[in-house]
This record gives sequence, C-alpha cells and structure tokens, in this order.
Amino acid sequence: MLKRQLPMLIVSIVGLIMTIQYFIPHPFSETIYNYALDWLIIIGIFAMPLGIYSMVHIHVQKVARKQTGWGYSVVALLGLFVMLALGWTPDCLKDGTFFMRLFEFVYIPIQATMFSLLAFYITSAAYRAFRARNILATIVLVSAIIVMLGRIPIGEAISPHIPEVADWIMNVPNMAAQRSIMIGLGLGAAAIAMKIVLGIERSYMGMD
Amino acid sequence: MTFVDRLLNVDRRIIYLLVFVAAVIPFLFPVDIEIKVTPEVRSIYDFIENHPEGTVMMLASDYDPQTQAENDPQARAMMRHMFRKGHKVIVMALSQDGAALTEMMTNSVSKEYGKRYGEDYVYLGYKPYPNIIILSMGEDFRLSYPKDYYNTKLDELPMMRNIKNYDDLAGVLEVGGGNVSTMWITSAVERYNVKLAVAVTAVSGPQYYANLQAGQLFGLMGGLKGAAEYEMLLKDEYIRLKAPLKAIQGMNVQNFVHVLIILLTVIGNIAFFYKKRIGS
Repeated sequence: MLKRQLPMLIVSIVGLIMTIQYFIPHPFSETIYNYALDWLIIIGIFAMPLGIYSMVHIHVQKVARKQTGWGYSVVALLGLFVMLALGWTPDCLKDGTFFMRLFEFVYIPIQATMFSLLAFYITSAAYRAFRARNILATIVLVSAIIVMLGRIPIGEAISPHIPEVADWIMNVPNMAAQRSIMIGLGLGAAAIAMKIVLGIERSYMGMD
Repeated sequence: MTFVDRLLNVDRRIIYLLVFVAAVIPFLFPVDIEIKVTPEVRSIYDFIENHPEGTVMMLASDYDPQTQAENDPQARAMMRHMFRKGHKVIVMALSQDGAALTEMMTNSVSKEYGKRYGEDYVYLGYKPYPNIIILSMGEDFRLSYPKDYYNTKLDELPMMRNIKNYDDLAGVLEVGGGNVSTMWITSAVERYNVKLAVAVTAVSGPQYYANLQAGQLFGLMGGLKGAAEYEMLLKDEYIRLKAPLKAIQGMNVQNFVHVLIILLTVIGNIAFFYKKRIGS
C-alpha cells in the first residue's frame, strides 16, 4: 500500500490540482501554484547529491575493477574533486582565481573544441553519405545545398533569389514539418501526463 | 584502383585538412562582405530601438562554451544595443557552464558603456532546473533569486526595487543553444504572456520558425548568420567602440566552409553516379 498506492495517489491528486489550478485566475490558486514551485525547487535540490553520488560511484567502481578506459574515470573524478575544492568559496568566481583560470583556459577550450569538431565530421559525412540515391534523397540534397548557400553572403552574390528560396524552404516546408513534430510531441506529452495522473503509466516508479 | 574509386574512398584526413584550410584562409585574407538583414532579426532590433530609454529588459543568457562561438556574438550585439539605447538590463543564466561566460560578457560590455552595476544592470547568475526558474520568475524574481550572483539581496539593488516579475519587463531576449529556449516559450510566453525573442544556434534555428509564425516569438536570430545581421545593423556602433565584428568575420569562415561542403557533396555525387553508370 505505502509503496505503490500512496505515491500514485499523491501524483494523481497533485496532478489534478495543478491542472485545475492552471485555469483558475484567483489569488488562492496562485498561492497553491507558488507553494508547488517552492516544493519543486526543494525536490530538485535533492537530485543534485544523488547525481554526484551516482557519478562518483560509477567511476570509482570502474577504477577499482580496472575496466577499459579506467584512466578516463580517474580524470573525471580528479576534475570533479579539484573543481569542487577550488569552487567552494564565493570568492572563487572573482577574476584571476585558479578556479576561473581552469574554467577559462581549460574547460571553455575543451568544450568549444568538442563542438567545433562537428564541422570536420559533417563535411566528411556529407562527402561520403549525402547521395541523391532516390527522389526523396535528391529533394533533401538540393534543399540542403540551397539553404547552405542562402545562409552565406556568397549565395546572394551568385543570385539574389538563392536567399529567397532558402527562406521559403525554412518558412514553408521546414515549418510544416516542425509543426507536425511539435503537435505530435504536444499530444504525446498530454497523453502521457493524463496516463500518469490516472495511474495507468507507472514506469516513473520503476513499474511496467 | 581507378581515379573515381580513389575519389570515393578518399582518406578522411584529407577532408579534415581541406576544412582546416577553408577555415584558416579567411583569417589570413579577410573579405569585406555585405550581409542582408532578415525580418526576424530586424524585429529584435526594432523592439530594442523603439522602446524609450530606461525600459527594463531581460537578457537570458543560456548558452555554454560549446555554442559560445555562435551565441556570444548574439548576446554581445543585443547587450550593446540595449546599453546604447539606455535600457536597464537584467541578465541571468540557466546553463551551469554559462554562468561565468555570461559574467565575462556582461562585465566587458558594461565597461564599454560605463554602466553601473545595480543601477543600469544586474546579474542574477545561475540557478539549476530552468523550467522551474522560468515559472517562478513569473510570480516573483525573489522566489528563485533572493540574491544576485554577487550575493547581494535583490532589494538592495536600486534597479530591482520596483521590479517584481515579468510584468515589469518590456520583454525577454533569450540566447541559448539547447532546449531552454523551448522552455521559455512554453513556460514564460504561454503562461505569463512574456514578449520573447530567441537567439539560437544555426542547428536549432529551424525548429523555432513555427513559434515565430505563431506569434509566440517577436524575433528570431539564428546562428552566426543572425549575429552577423545584427552586427551589420550596429556596424557604426561597433566601429565607434572599436569592438571586433566577430560574427561578420566568422561569416567569412562560414562562407568558405559551406562552399567546400557543397563542392565536396557535388563531387561525391558525380563520382557516385559515374561509378554506378560504369558498373551497370
């Protein structure tokens, strides 16, 4: 009872209250909403130590068992604890501190590099896999070339119509596809929420 | 192995080298380029330009180092424009990796204009769980941010004394590289009728055209191109400040790399069809 029905009952009651509350513009309704927001923040905070514990646990085990790539786990743990130790005080955020230097000159370049590598991979992938094998692939290929050209100044230098066609592709076919995806996602999310409130969907409690 | 076979199986390192060369050439030989401003970027400019001096706006800087190359010029351009117009700016960050980046950006732009912290702008800093933060700010900024980034109570900052929630802002300009922009639309626009414009990466850009046309956004700045368009609109200001036109310079690189990708795709397809024809 306590393990199954009670959590489901809490979810159903809170879900129903929050759904009804959204449509009632009254101070009492707003108070409930603010109260729920406070709870969300508090519960959210508890997820943080859980995340840190999970990360440490996984990497410590990997190192202890000397699994493949355990050296990376050592680096991950070192990174976590060094930044945690250096970032403990509010002063660490001031210019010139060791914490900020590590952030500015190690972390930022690493992250930026990871994202920049995409340009190299995309070019290689486009050369190898972007083929006009059938009509659909040809439409995608031609659209991609027009949009790529339309997004750079040289496209307009070739013909002023290229950016116009690129804009049309973005505003009409692209938007139609995006809308259908968004509507599908929205309906899916609403259906899942309803199933959770009604107790049909229980996977969030580790049940089927 | 024929020439076509070699072409189809070219070593990927050669392609990487070509991309590297295409990215470096524009730095060595920069070309003066003209960039056409699109209506979705122009409307952000008009929004900032048409509000009277002293209007309070929010810059939600939700990007991180990964997308800094695209998002940072966008944020700087809008920030410069707001400061030039004499608006008051609330800056915040919903990306944990972006809090320090945002502070660097805010400090450097505010110095250019001699703006005073607490009177002309404030930096709220980072808080986790973006959706909750966006929702709570609709009720009161103090719910999530009782203190600013520098641990000062919001009520002790002169600019914040009469500001409670989104109702006291003209609008929010969100700069992001991930799905936080969508959270702003669903939680701030739909629930609190916030006037929102988003500046996103080129990869994320296409998904927001539907929101733009639906009127949920009053403006959209997509990738480096969007930032370059904004820099074109503020070109005189950048020259006056002697600030680098980073996005416009970046467009030079994008020019070369896009052309290279198109050329390689065309060559790959020609070789593919030639091989197919010979094979059959």
